[in-house]
Amino acid sequence: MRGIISIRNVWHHYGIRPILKNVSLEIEHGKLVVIMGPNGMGKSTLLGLIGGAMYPIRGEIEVDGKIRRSSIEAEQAIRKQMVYLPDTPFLPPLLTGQEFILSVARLYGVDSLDAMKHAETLLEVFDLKEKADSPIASYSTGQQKKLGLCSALLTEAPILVLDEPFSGGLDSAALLAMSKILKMLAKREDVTIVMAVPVPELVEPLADKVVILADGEIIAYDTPAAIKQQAGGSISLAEALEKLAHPDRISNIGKYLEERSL
Amino acid sequence: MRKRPYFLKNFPPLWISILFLLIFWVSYFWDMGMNHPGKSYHGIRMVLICGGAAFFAFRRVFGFFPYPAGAYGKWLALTPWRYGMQMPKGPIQLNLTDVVIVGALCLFTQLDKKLSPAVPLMIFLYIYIFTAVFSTVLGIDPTKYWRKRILILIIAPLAFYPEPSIQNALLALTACYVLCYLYLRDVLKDYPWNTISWLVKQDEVLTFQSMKLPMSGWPYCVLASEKQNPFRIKNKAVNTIVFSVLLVWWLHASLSLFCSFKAGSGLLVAVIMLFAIFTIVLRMVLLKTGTASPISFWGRIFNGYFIIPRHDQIFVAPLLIIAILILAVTSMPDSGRGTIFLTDLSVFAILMIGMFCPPRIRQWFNTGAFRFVKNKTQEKQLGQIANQKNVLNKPIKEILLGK
Repeated sequence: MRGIISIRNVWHHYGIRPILKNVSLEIEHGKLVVIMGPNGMGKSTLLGLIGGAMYPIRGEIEVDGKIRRSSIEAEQAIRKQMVYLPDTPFLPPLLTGQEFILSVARLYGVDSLDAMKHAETLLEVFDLKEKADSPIASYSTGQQKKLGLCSALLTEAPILVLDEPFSGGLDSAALLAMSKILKMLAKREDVTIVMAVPVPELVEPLADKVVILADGEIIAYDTPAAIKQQAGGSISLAEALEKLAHPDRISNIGKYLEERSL
Repeated sequence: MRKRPYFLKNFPPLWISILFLLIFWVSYFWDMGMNHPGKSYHGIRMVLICGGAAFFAFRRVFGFFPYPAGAYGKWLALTPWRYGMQMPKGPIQLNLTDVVIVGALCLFTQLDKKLSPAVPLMIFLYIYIFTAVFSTVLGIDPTKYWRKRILILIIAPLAFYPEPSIQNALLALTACYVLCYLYLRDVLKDYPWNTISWLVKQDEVLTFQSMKLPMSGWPYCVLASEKQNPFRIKNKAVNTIVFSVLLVWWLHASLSLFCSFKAGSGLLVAVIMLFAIFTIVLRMVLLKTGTASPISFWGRIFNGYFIIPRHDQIFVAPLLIIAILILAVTSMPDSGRGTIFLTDLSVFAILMIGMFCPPRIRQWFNTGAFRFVKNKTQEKQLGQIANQKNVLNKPIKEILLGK
């Protein structure tokens, strides 16, 4: 079945070492797909390629039947329906939080009145209402992270590509709010979410499917239950990830603990 | 207070006229009275005459045209004024008062006889015509009234080409003035204009602003889908060619004025080089700002990606321009009219490559093989400004609570 996002034989290098090696992936419409894997294995690169901030050295990325950067029309159509929020976006420090998120909403053609109402609710949900009229420069890292998430949600784009939405100093209330919002969005059939999350505990209740990337290759792509099954049955997703992504690590940890206790 | 008659409304303010005459005549009588050769103040008078002509020309346009964004234009929009009625501030087109004032400036040149009497007239007409024709586009649909503007740009260099002479200059400037008169008439006939501020909705303005880094940050500003410009210039290719031809025509006329055909071709080579460097730098700045090669130099070498066509296409135009530059330099004759024609041809070719060689900006930013990268300098600048303004912008409640 052809997905809304098709990644075909993608290779990517920044320098000499390949970051992604012949990656192919089909992401179905209306699903929430989480990319997991150890640090430096290409999660952010893959999201950057899907999001359009990067271009693969080899291979192609198709979104809703249009290949990224194949033509002006195709690229424009993709940009209209996809929002990409990297791990560390640059938020305009001179603008207030509210001004910024409304500015992003305008880029996606969201009706001004709807955007204002939605913005107000989102700012309240993420506990940013008091800071809404302050310049972003005065926001803490966590507050900036929240604001970035608000901006992405405000676009109402049918495809959300989020790089580590739960990291960057989010407080527990924001984590809860974000996972609830994502859960709600995941239930909608018209919204597709692709995100990188390093914490398996947050992934399990949310993800329709999980991609495990290691050494630039996809080593597993399935539902969380199936991945756990693949890794050996009744274990947690974190253990499954460890077993699949770097089987040596568990024994290394054991060895270390053994050494220290001696 | 008595109102000035309509035909005198464009007379310069009285205090300026008195100051002008005072300085002029004091310096003149000083020179007459002192009578010591070699210490004349005629230079001051020449500057006064030329400066006066230039000032008067600028004032005749900027002071009398109802620019939509200016106070006069905004006020006029609230009145029932239409073409055919007298303009409240005075006429924008030239009248007898202008003839008298410019004529007086021409006559003043005869006191010292250091300056041709046609000079103030030419300064006045050149500045008036060009200011009237090109500044009046501000705020009005820029896609209209272009035919007369182009004709003026074609005719104007005939004032000094092929040979600078007063007869040629007067003939060319008269023709330009007729076109300018007709142009202003057409513009005023269309009043009230569909001004940009009326046609562009506030939402559209805000959306355009949102596409910039200080408004929506990164990567939103680079990954935003394009928005339709309400003033789309049709036939961009034709416009580009016309613009290039006009530029080369002016360059040709100016070079003919300044270059002796018998002189060496060094200046002309420098002109070609200047255009080549400018075009290459401009193209590279426009295409490379905010983008980077998808792979590093060493990555390319070690992985065998020596050429990435969809990225390296940006180097084609600079290479072609350098080839033209080398060709022009090596085949440039030492003297003769051919040198200027070769310069014209080279500059035209450079402009054509600069503007038409793929990738065009829109094509590149939508289909090029590159990575979007953050503009660190701009981000740093914004950060610094924010740090300076941060406390001032904070809501008072936050400052009081020490947040």
